[in-house]
Amino acid sequence: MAAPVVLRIEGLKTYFHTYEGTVRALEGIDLEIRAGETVGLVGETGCGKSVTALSVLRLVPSPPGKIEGGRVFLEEPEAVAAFRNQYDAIAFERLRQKGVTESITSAQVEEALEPEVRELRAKLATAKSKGDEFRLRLEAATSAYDLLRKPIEEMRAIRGNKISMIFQEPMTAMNPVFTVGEQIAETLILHRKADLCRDVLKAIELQLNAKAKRVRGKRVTVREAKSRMLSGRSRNVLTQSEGETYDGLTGLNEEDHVCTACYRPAPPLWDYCPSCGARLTFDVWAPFRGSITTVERKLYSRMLADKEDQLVDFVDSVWILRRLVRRRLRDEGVRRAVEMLREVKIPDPERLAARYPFELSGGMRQRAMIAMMMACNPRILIADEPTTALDVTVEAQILKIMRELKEKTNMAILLITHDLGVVAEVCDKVGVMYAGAIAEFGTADQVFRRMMHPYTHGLMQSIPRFMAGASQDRKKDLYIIQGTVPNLLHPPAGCRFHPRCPRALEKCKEVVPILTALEPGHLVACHNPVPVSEAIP
Amino acid sequence: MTNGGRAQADEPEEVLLAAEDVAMHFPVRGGLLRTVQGHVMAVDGVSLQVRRGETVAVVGESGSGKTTLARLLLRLLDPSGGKVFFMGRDITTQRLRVVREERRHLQMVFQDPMSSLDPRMTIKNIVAEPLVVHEDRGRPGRTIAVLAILFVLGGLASVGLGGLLLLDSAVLGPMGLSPSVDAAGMASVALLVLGVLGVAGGRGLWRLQGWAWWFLAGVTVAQLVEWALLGVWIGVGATAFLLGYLVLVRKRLRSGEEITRRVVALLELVGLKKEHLNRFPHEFSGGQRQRINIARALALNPDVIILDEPTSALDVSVQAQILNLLTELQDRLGLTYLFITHDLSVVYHIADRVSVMYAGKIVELGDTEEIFREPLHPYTKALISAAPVADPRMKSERIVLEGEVPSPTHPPSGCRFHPRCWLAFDPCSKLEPELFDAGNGHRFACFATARDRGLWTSGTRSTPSTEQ
Repeated sequence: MAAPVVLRIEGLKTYFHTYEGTVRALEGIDLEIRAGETVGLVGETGCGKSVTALSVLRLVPSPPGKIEGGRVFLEEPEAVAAFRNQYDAIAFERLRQKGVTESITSAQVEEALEPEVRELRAKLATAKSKGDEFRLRLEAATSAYDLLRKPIEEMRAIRGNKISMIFQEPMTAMNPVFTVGEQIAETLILHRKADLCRDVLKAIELQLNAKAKRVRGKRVTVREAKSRMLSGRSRNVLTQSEGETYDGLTGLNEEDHVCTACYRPAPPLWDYCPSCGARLTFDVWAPFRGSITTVERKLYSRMLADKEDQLVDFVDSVWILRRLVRRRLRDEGVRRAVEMLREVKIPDPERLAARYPFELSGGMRQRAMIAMMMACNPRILIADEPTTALDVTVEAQILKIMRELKEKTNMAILLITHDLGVVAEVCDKVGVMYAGAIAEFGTADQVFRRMMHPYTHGLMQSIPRFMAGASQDRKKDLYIIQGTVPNLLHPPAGCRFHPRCPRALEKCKEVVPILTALEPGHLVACHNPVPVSEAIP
Repeated sequence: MTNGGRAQADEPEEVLLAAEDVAMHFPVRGGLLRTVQGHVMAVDGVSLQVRRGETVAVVGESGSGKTTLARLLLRLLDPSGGKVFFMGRDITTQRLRVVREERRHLQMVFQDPMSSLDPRMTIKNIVAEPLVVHEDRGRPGRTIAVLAILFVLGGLASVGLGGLLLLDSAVLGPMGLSPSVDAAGMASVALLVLGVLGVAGGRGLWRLQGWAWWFLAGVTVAQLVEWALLGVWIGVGATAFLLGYLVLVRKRLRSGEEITRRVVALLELVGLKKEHLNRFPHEFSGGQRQRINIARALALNPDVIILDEPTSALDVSVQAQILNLLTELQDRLGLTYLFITHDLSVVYHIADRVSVMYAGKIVELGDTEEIFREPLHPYTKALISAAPVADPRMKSERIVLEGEVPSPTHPPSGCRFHPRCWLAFDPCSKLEPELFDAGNGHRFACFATARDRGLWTSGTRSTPSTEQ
């Protein structure tokens, strides 16, 4: 349990205010996701899985949706969290006296802690040293890492950067009029502009150098390059350095491309040689290239120095000049996009990057989507039904890719699905949701083999199984959870599951059960949990 | 099996539905003159037999031709090759009118429960549609509706007339302005009462309620007598016309009533209630909609129901309800199912036999138990291993296939699975494997497995692939 908590959701509450009344879509969700963990959220249609994800990203359509309460902490440092726990205890006590007990927001906490906050501010101002402790304490007391209180610009910087989301239908999430490569590049330009600028400047230096030294090159295949180097002679005739270059060539694939100036790899997407800077493509502007590149250097370095540089903004607003500040960024972005596509095991990523989303099959599209979402190395990937629209064999591929990427980057995954099989397959921890609340949470083993909530129990019994020794159960009646999912306009009082629950008690009709740990790490919200002996194997 | 001759009907193993080498090649048109540029081989030489009372599942990924196969079996498409036999008769060569008659016994349930129900029809009309189409009951609607409207209008007219007369006799009479007070008063009251009764009866008729006919007949006769007594011969004529109309409509009303009764019975069979009769599809949940679809399919007492992914759009808990309903119906009505799905756990639960399709061809077929215990075709193996199981201990050896389902316009030569197959060897790319018999009706189309089992050695018993 050493991994740091990446996302902590506390008492998240989202309502939809419609003409027919208030739909209580989320009624206090608590969830904790650690780095490198895959957490699954399962439940039936309309139980609030997707609303949870959208609330975390603050993308709930509003109106009618509104986040009514709760806190969502993203990447809160351990030290801050520790201080915050202290302050929370004080604040909660004060709030209880005022009658506020659930789905407490950061604003309420800060208000309750007003004297402490004022004192901390004063101390921070007077402290001679850096005042690290006071700063951390202030951050804790004001819940600085709460996403729900961040201004919208900061949220925009977080979406697609620290938190990415994959949607069920990739076609609706992608823009049909831009190529896949351009779309991934766009994400990068939005969130990684500085990195790209630096790369662009490096390339510009390289090209200016090459220009000064009058290096000229052409893109040829390795096979051609070899015959060009030897030009009929044998290998032995070559000089020492030439020989080394030749040996470098023999290590490459025959079909790969190299630059004739330096005989080093020059993949087809590059219009200049990445090693020597020689221009490889036909250039209409060749006579002016030197001055254009110099201007570009000026603009990109200003862009790197100041995000809102006026000159850059001006150039960007004139369409003839726009190319000067956009082309290199986009090209650099597309090159990185190709690398991302290669990472999600797309064969021939260069060609795919130049295609439009509708030209791809469902599996490819979902992979491109993953590549796009992984482009900024997010801390959390929220995957909302990523494989529901896919066939099982493609689903297996996608899940494998997601698992590999997770291990590589140590990000956390929040997997939202209704397919219990997928969850069992890939998740470390599982939350079972019912009617806007988490019914059971625990490790996959706990939830699938020692489930305690009657809903989980019913759900598990209602899936047909085909493995080990199930043959005598074939064609037998499957277990059915009686009744239907409640209308969240008028959710049942008490436990929301009680009208359908075979184990309901009188108490269940009145008292809302609280998520409590019945085993270490195994949280269940139920007054009358299923004993472990009855859990289905 | 010859055309027109019925196969042995009373044998237990009677083959109800059989496909023999059916193929469906959709032409791809393109270019300036819209010429045929190639073919999409959606289904390419599939043979399949469905026996009475069993459940046969067709499994495969999207694009493998499952749904096209279903449409061919119903002859919703004309196959480009091969034959389809239903109850021993070849339905591919018969005229469409004859085939329609056959479809009484051959019904289909579609995947998306919403898009297969007309949003502007009530549940009653939806479920009654097959009865109306096939049993020529005639829509009870139109003639009866006209009559009902006539009654309501007539009733309203006579209420108005009665009211006027009453005003005349009750108000003007005492003032000495109207001559015959008593007779007019009596007539006006009678007109009022009969008018109200006529409106009520017309409303009942509109709703096809059984009592309405007798009620209206009584009212009309009374009206007739009244007009006659009053000596208004136009009234007598009009009422006599209505009475005649009413007699004419009697039979139709009876069949309408009967249809309602049958629809109610069907709805109860699939677990819906009588109250649902006059509702519209959008008022139901996904599971209920699928129940309505099943009720509609059952309306004509079919022998075979083709179910095209009936539970794919549903949540697991609802899926369990529908699967239970299907098994129960099969037990009660002796139905035969052809179950098309991509969900292997559902297949294992419900099917007696399975055929696995890949890129328009059947690659393996046999008993469910046997296929799941010992899949012989590598694709089946991959499919079974890839299906996620809700048990974290089962994370075991998944076979993750590389690549994707091949393009149906240019399927790979030889075995269509060979570019993704880890067992592929020399002949796989050159020869098209036939269905080798592993005994017990378990057949598979794979050279590698056949070689290992000694069923095939290179150079024997193989069909050269047809170059496209």
